[in-house]
Amino acid sequence: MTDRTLRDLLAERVNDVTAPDLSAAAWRAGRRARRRRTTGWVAGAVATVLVVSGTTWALRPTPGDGTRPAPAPATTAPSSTASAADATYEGVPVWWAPDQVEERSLPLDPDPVLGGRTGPLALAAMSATLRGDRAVAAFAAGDTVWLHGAEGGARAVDVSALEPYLDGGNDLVPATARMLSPGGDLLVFPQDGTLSVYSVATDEWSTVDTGQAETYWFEWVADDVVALPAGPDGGGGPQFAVGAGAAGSHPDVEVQRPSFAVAPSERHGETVRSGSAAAQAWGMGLAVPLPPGPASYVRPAEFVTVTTGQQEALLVTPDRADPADSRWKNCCPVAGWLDGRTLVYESRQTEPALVAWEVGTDRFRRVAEIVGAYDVASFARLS
Amino acid sequence: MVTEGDEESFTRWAGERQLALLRTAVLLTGDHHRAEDLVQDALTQVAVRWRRLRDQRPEAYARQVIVRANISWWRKHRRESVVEVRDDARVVAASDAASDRRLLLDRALAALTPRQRAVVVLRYYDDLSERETAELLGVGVGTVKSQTSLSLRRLREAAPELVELLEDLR
Repeated sequence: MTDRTLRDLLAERVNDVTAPDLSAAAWRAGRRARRRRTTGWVAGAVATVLVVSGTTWALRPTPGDGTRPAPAPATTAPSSTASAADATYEGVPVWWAPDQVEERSLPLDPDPVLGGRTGPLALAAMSATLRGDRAVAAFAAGDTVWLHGAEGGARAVDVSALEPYLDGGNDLVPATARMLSPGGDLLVFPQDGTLSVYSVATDEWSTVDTGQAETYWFEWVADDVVALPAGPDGGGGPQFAVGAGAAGSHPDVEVQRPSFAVAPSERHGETVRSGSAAAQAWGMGLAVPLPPGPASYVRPAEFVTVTTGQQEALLVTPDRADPADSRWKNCCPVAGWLDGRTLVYESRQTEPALVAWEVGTDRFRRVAEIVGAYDVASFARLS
Repeated sequence: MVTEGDEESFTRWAGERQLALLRTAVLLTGDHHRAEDLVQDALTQVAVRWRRLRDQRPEAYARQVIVRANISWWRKHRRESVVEVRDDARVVAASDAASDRRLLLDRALAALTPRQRAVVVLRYYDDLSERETAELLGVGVGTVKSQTSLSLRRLREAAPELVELLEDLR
């Protein structure tokens, strides 16, 4: 018997499958999507663009028919250019980020490090030589992790030799949002009983034995030291040196938690700190306020909690209810801080981008377009 | 400007190809409802880009959307989903050869990761070459080869009863 047998088995499995006619509905949905895109660009064309200290920002675009209400009075003023919050939730001021369509109309003001374009396809088109010995971003796409050099250039790292991480019968992809070290010089991948470590400087792999400890949920407690908590909620664990330094004893990673109640299971991505500022993305577990307007938004929405010093803010990332053009689940993990008051989040959507928000204001801009399909991204310190 | 001619040509193309796409999607997911959603989304994506795609390879694009969306769906839901292998008593009770094979195949396919499953379906159902499969999945040809080998081994391990049927697949 030849591979014809498998072909026959597969064909037999679906030979009684029938389908309703989906073509007319698909055409109508496509037509609606085209209209929305057009509307988005028109809205973008009238968005107010500001130039502040050489940096191009846009006030959050107003939806096409301008039905968003005037913002409520500000309850906090996190920065000297603070604008009124859009709403409050449990006493915390709420700002509404542009939705996925509005985002595309934001000015693209490249971050000097990221160069305005990143992601697998953009990096594939760049110099194949990564300059320097650090990366600023890593994008896992299938069996390749693309590194974006902190000093320019790119490199494709073959990770096909890594084994899927087995977790309760599921194969988990070993490339995670934590794979790139904060210093940008190491990639770490969890394996069964070991951590596989790739050095950006030497282009070499090494292995760190971890014994019986669960490795999948590793977290960085220093630039070259990871802790191995038992699960996704963190909480510390044995520490291992993955670089040249010694493990030592570092404080456990502290998850940034808002003043209001939110389930730990809603957390996604990492808490990213810069000085006294911290930010953490959360899932869809709370009925945070959403903008009114012509678009229908998925409820509840995902959001990012931010603290700058003693002040707290909440950034809601609205998702237009459009199955053909939606944000991805866990759409907007925190990528980093450009400075103590400018947060960057990874907007995972049909046309992904890195979006900067000046905390406590209506000012948003794109610092890079992410070009090409990828599974997960990981970022070193951006400042 | 999108014209009535565009709508007509799209509707004709979609009408002709949607069943094939749905069958691929059912094999990829094992779930008829989700397969239908994937096909609906893929056809919509093609409709949005119809003027650009109509003279190229719209079916390849639609198939790519389905495969990648399925893998993305699985990655997003892997911690909350349990692969459902239909243990349909009627199928077992019927005990005819075709039903037995179907049940065995469902169980075996459920043991594969979405990408391995995609490799099997694209190579052995859609008859794509290794290169075409690699391009569609966004991986290297070597990965397709290794994943094919691993997938066939897993199929045998997951459903030993299939071994006899697949004994020459090495």
